[in-house]
Amino acid sequence: MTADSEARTLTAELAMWIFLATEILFFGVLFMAYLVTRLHHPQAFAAASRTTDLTLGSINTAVLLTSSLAMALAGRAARARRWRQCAWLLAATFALGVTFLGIKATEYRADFAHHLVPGPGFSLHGPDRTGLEQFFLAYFVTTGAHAVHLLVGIGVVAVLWLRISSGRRRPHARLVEVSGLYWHLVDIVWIFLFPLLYLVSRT
Amino acid sequence: MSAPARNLMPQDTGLPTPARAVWLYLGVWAALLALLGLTIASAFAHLGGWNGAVNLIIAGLKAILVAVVFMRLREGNPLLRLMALAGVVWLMILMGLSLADFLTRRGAI
Repeated sequence: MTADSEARTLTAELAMWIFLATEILFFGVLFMAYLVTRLHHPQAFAAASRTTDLTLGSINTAVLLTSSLAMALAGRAARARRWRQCAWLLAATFALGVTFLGIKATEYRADFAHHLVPGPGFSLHGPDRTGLEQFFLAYFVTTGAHAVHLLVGIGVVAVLWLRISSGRRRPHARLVEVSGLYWHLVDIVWIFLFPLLYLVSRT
Repeated sequence: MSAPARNLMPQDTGLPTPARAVWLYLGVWAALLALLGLTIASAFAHLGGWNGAVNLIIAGLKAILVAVVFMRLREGNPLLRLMALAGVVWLMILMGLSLADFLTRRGAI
């Protein structure tokens, strides 16, 4: 690598990290809102969390962790100029991302069917109905924001995959690695969302 | 080129070769899945008020593994580590100041 190419890579990586810092603060606000409402309604959050689907949530976490492995290996392959391998790994990342959203959509459909959306038709009852509703407000807002981010990541990975597999307008290796940084941050957000939403109280 | 500017460039030496990195990445993936199993198992253990803390500590470990290995903070330029740390530290300051209020109030909040 020439010094100029190295400098461009550092610029791209640093720019992505600056953007990721703003993303950390964006999701931080949502986490803070979650924490404050949970401090106000500890029992309601425990009760509401028990109604989430732990099996699907756990499978989805494993799916997303595996997608990060595929993305990290895709970045490696790009750096080593192994473009065929890189295309396959990006395809795997894409497929795992879509699988995650598919499972999440299945969960949402069940949530809607059980009337867990906060509002007049909210079906859960208990001594602290407001707290139960606020858990599900946090649930839908945080998982929704995460799903939108993942959708963007899936789009980026799809474009990289198509450009590499077609062989035309093949992207620079640094583009694969920098896109990977975004993908991994979306994974990290879910790593924190999973215990906060699915594991509040299972004993 | 002056010496300080050169120091900002990532070094080619010291990067793990792709072949070695595959095992490292597979190892981290296995560790992440093991930690996922651990956090699910811990949620079913009676730990009193510590269930939440254990879950957050495990999530923090998983996040560090992803950031250090998958996001290549370990091998990358120090500037990237500084930027990543800045994002997390600012979040900790903002959340810490907010919680300093909510966690110390007595009675109705």
